[in-house]
Amino acid sequence: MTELPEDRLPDELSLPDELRALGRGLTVRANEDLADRVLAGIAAAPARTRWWRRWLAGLVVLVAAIGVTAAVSAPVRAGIAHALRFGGVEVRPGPGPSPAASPALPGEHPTDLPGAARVVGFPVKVPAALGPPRSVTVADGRVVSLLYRGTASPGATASPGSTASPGGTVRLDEFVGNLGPLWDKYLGGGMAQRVDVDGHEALWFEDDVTLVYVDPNGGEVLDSARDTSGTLVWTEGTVTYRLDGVRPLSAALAVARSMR
Amino acid sequence: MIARVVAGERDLYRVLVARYGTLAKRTAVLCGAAADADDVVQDAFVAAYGALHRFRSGEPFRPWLLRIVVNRSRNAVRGRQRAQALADRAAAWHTEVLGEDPVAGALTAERREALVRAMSGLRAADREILALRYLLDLSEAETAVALKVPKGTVKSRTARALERLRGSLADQAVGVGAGDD
Repeated sequence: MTELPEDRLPDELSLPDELRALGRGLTVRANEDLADRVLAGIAAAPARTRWWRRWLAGLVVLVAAIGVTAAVSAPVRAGIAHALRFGGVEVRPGPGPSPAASPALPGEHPTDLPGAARVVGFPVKVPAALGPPRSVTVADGRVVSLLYRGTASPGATASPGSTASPGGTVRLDEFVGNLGPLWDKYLGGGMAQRVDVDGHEALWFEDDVTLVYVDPNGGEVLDSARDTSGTLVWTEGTVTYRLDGVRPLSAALAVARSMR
Repeated sequence: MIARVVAGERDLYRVLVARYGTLAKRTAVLCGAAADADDVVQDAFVAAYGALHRFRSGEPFRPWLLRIVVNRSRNAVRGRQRAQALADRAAAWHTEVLGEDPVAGALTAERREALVRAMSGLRAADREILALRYLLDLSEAETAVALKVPKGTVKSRTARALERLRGSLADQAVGVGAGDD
């Protein structure tokens, strides 16, 4: 098939070529701040998206709210009968998958605090009670982890007498959790306790819990499965915080309240 | 690169946004998004990020992204249609595409104006296919992916759309001639 009309003169542009020339003359350009706006949009998708996405986000929030309401009306210390969505964490009764040999999150790699904040797109907070983290990692573009050696937390003056699991690792995960769960927590036979961090709702898991990372498709990443105990989960705005390895509850709460 | 973005290097996505931002916006404008073009492009990039894990490596990124832009532009057009008359929509397309200071090229200002006016009078489907195939100079294969139609359909629809554009240009020429007499 030819694109050139039969009757055109040799020095005349064909209509397709004229259209190409018209296209080359376009002055429309992307806005300078497009990349910034896109990355901000990715970090906080419900804030400025089209109506149907807002509607969808609203539905998720509603589902989460129903979960929280159920939790409020439950006894202070009670087992969880069905899946409970809390921030970016979904809590399930029953045993979870076996822990992985060396649990890791997808694409988890070391970085520093500013680097992590750039990747995830929200300000990364550090607990003053623990001081600067020993290392910082970011995974899957959306989870920041601050790691502390349990025995080496000299800054933990805000919680005198507390133990930060001697020999173990203290881990603080930060992630935007309002769009869907990032973690499944399997309670086994354990319990969850509702507590409060400076007016923000929180859950405390005293006993062993199996933690599995949930990828953006909703699939559990079995290579990430690990057992944790002494975990405090709380939310502040759209960000969910998950502190592992600081006991007892009063010490974990002191760490959570020292977030800056 | 896309594999690395999916693996968590979100900052790398900036590179893709910078690389395809202008093409995406031109696509949005040519598909009628008009004043919504910036929002459409921003939303499309955010949506594309969310769908990146479904993107098969080895598949070309450009038409895949443009398909999202085209769909969102169509939605934007639909959203406006109730409130806006056809003539206004055509005029908006006309203004957006010509811009305030079109770059001079192989075409005279009059010819450019005539082409844009004729394009703005076409049906949306004809305008879309000519815009993607020629104004944005996509290949037949890329156009097929972006418009989600088979490649053979791109070929036949392009030919028909060109015919209608030619007819519209001829009508314009007659109209202008009659007016001048």
